[in-house]
Amino acid sequence: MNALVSLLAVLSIVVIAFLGAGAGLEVLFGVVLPYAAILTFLVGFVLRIVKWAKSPVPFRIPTVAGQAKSLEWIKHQPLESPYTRRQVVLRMALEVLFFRSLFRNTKAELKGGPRLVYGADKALWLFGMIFHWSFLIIFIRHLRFFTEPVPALVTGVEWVDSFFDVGLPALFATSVLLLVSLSWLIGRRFLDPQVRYISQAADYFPLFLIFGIASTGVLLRHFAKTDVAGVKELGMGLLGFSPPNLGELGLSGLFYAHLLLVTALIAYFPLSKLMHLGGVFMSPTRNLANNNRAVRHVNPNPQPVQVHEFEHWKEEFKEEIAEAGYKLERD
Amino acid sequence: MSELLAHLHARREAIAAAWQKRMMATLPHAGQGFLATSRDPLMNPMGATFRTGASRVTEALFSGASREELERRIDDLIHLRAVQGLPPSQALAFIPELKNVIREEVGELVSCGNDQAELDRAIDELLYLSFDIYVRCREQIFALRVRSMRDRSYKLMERAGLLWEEGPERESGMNRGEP
Amino acid sequence: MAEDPTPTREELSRVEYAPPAKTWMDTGVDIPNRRGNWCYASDAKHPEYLGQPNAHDWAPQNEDWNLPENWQRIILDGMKERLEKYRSFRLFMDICVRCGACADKCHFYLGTGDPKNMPVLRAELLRSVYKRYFTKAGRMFGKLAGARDLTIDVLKEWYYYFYQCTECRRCSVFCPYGIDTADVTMIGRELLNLVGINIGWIMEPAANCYRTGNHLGVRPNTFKDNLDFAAEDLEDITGVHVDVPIDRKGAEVLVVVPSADYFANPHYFTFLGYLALFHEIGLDYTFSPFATEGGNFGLFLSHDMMKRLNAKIYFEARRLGVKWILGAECGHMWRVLHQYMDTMNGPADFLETPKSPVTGTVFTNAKATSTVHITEFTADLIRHDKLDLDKSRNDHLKVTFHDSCNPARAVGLLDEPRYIMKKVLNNFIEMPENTIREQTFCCGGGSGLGSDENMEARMRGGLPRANAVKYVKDEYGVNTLACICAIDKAVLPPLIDYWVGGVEVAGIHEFVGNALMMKGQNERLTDLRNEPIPHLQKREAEEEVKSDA
Repeated sequence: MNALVSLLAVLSIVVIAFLGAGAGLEVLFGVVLPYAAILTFLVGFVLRIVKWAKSPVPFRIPTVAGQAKSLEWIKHQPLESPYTRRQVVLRMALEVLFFRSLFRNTKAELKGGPRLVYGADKALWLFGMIFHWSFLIIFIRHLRFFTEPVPALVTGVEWVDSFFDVGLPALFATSVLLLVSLSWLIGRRFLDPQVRYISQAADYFPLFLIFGIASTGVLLRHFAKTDVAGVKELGMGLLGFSPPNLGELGLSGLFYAHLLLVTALIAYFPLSKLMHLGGVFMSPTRNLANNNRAVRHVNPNPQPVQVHEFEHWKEEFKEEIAEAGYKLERD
Repeated sequence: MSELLAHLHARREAIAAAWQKRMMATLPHAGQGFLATSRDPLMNPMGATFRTGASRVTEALFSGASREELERRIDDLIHLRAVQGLPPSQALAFIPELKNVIREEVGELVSCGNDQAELDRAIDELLYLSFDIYVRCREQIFALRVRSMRDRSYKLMERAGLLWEEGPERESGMNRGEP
Repeated sequence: MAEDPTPTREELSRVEYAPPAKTWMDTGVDIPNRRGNWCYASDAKHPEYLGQPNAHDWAPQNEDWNLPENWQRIILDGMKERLEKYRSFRLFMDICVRCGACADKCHFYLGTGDPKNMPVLRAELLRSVYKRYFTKAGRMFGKLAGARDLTIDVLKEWYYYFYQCTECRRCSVFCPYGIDTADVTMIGRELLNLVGINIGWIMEPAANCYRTGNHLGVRPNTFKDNLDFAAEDLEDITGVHVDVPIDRKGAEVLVVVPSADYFANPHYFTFLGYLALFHEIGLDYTFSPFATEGGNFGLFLSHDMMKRLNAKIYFEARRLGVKWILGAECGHMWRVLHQYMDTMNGPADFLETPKSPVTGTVFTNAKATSTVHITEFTADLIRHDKLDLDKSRNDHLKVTFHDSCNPARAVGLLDEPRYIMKKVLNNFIEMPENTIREQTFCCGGGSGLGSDENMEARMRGGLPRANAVKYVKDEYGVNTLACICAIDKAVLPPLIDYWVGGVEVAGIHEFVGNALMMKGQNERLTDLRNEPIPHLQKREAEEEVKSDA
């Protein structure tokens, strides 16, 4: 049900784009909606971060995953239990760039029987990595449509990405990898009973959406080849706030489908779980040092509480205290 | 009934696997996914107990093992079933279910006539001894509750003269498998 | 086959063989049918004593929980307040992608197979309500967006599952965003507590602790009696008289222990170990008659209650004029001392950076809170060769070590206890790699779930831990399970008895005390449990025979 609704939502985006492009709504899909989406993205992203940032971090609660800094001769594991800011940055970098916590699952090794679970977990890390890195590279590649001259970073990435030099235009490795990893991530949500049980529409929708984007992208590059110059004119125009006359560019319905899917993703992003992009940096169990006893963490908004006053306690148990012979002096 | 048993013994892996699936299925959702597929006894003790239990018990059953042997082999399984929050009837229903599992896996053994009845009786025996173990487990839980209450304020009670001397209860008995 | 004794299909149909087709949102929890699996409600008098809101008598098995009329409003307001107060809470509600990496990491899931014990779903129980009332998508799309109304069934589910989480944080280690279910559970319990839903096993100790200073409600005179009694016991065993200073102003160190150490079994033997150690090194220390509890069941109830119960420790450190604090073996106490105490009740500017009076080691890692873990302290003593130890006195023990959740995943205290054990005993065996250290499995009774009425739930929750113990028992003949947590010491014995058998539970300082050669001691043919040390008794007997001859 959740999956079906998500799939239908993505398909209807494609249909709307085709219909709209055919009905002379190019300006809406090529200019108005992209601007609106980017505005939504920027405002939404910032608002969400601000909302998170507004809630304070009253306590320092890192999840420690290794030996803390302690006595000199005890080997400290700085990445598992960072003590300094530098170590926190390293821990975060490994987390953000290489999904270290997910990788942790593969460490398990035990006797007895095949270990299906570790295989599956390793796959989650692997396909997660492939997916995210491919997406990033594809994002960078697309900067070609918004820059003149094209920065060396972009051409360099393209060069590496088309290293295998298959087909004309050259097939990008990341295009394939993205589709493969997406298929795995989608398949997992259907086939693994546990994951299926916890999956919601909000989990299927972005996967289908990105799958739609990737597949229309591949079609545009390799099969229903689009007018790249026209796309770049649109990209540069949008960036310079002087969009070209879209009627003259004559971009295909498929291109508008691709664009509308991307537009939907951009607008959907700040409203959804995709905000883990920003959130991962703010997680108090990861971005704080485990130096609690060495450096005091200040609660910006401490709440006064009622405590059992010593004097009251002394009065309440005065007989017992006398029996025990405590002096209970105070300065 | 050696003929039938030999026949079943040859098929015991399939039977054990099917039986284990039935056991898992008595827990909502647990019959699928990780708990069913992971064979690692340390990461998935429940699934592994079902799996090894099913295989060890069927192996013994189909080779006509003694009651003591069966008891030893089904012990882990019953320990698990006894704390799964199920009513006793459901906790032990997986044992007679083995009859159905065998029929489904091997087909009706009409030709084996008497053997069949004998096998059914053996499975009934298995149920009875399992019930003994089940009750022992429950009694152990009750005893552990009492012991926990005592241990919690052990020294206070000792000083108040509320404790019995180090008695047989502490020295022996409660630990499973230690006669 | 008329005589066929096989039950009919109908008879068997009472056992549910197929997973329910419904989604998790539509399957509530049938609490009355699960006695033995949940904790009893608290008498209203305890929350009343503590001034908790909407304290009332209720029982989980009853249909009607006697909630205040506007309970939904109270919960939602409470949720709003906490979303604004704790970034962790808001973030954890927003960023979970339901990747499922945490699913099989929870000991309660592994032991029950109940999908709502997957950490992701445990959090989702709360998240679904958050989405419904605090996000646009949830308000607009409802169930499709994973949102649902806050109904009484949802509340009952919260109670059932938030009191089936031991706040052990194992899932958090594996989560790519560090989502900490312990934090979610803490908030969930705080919300329940707002409408008077809480359990006796947490409320009563908390009330006792607030009133008397410790969880069992031991009064100041009984406290002194108990400590004196321990000194006598130790003298009986070792022949050495030790002083147990209480309320000694101007001592260098304030020692804080979980109260179970001075009256529960087997905690008590660890306590004897501390006393022997302190005496032998001549530590200038004192216990406090007011701060008679280092443990803090407030942690299991609410942040505020934790702060209220913790306040007495710094208060007493200041009153007694000590230089620093030495904290004993306890798990959740150390979560509080390490991650919360200084922030809540500090700054501890009246204390000094702890420095071992014996070795001169400065504990710079504790320079702000001025609180040292006893295994750090003892490891340092041993490292500097300040103790006369006879390892062979522990030769009757084959020991494995259970990393207690909080010292492992909140403090990062992993190698100190191991170092000590390797120096005070000869037979130390690790459990398999992914069941120890940061991946340690909980005992199943942490976070206030160590009650007796839920013994079966504890057995299930502790199964993964017990299983690893069984593994080293079967493979290596382990007969002792060491730990540094008072809850472990209470919860592991029944757990191990049920699943494994033949393995005793002990604290690290029990071994230290066993091995410690004290000046002026007797022949010491027994260990701290006053049980004979077999090989020593044998040697003694042989020598007697020799001298007779």
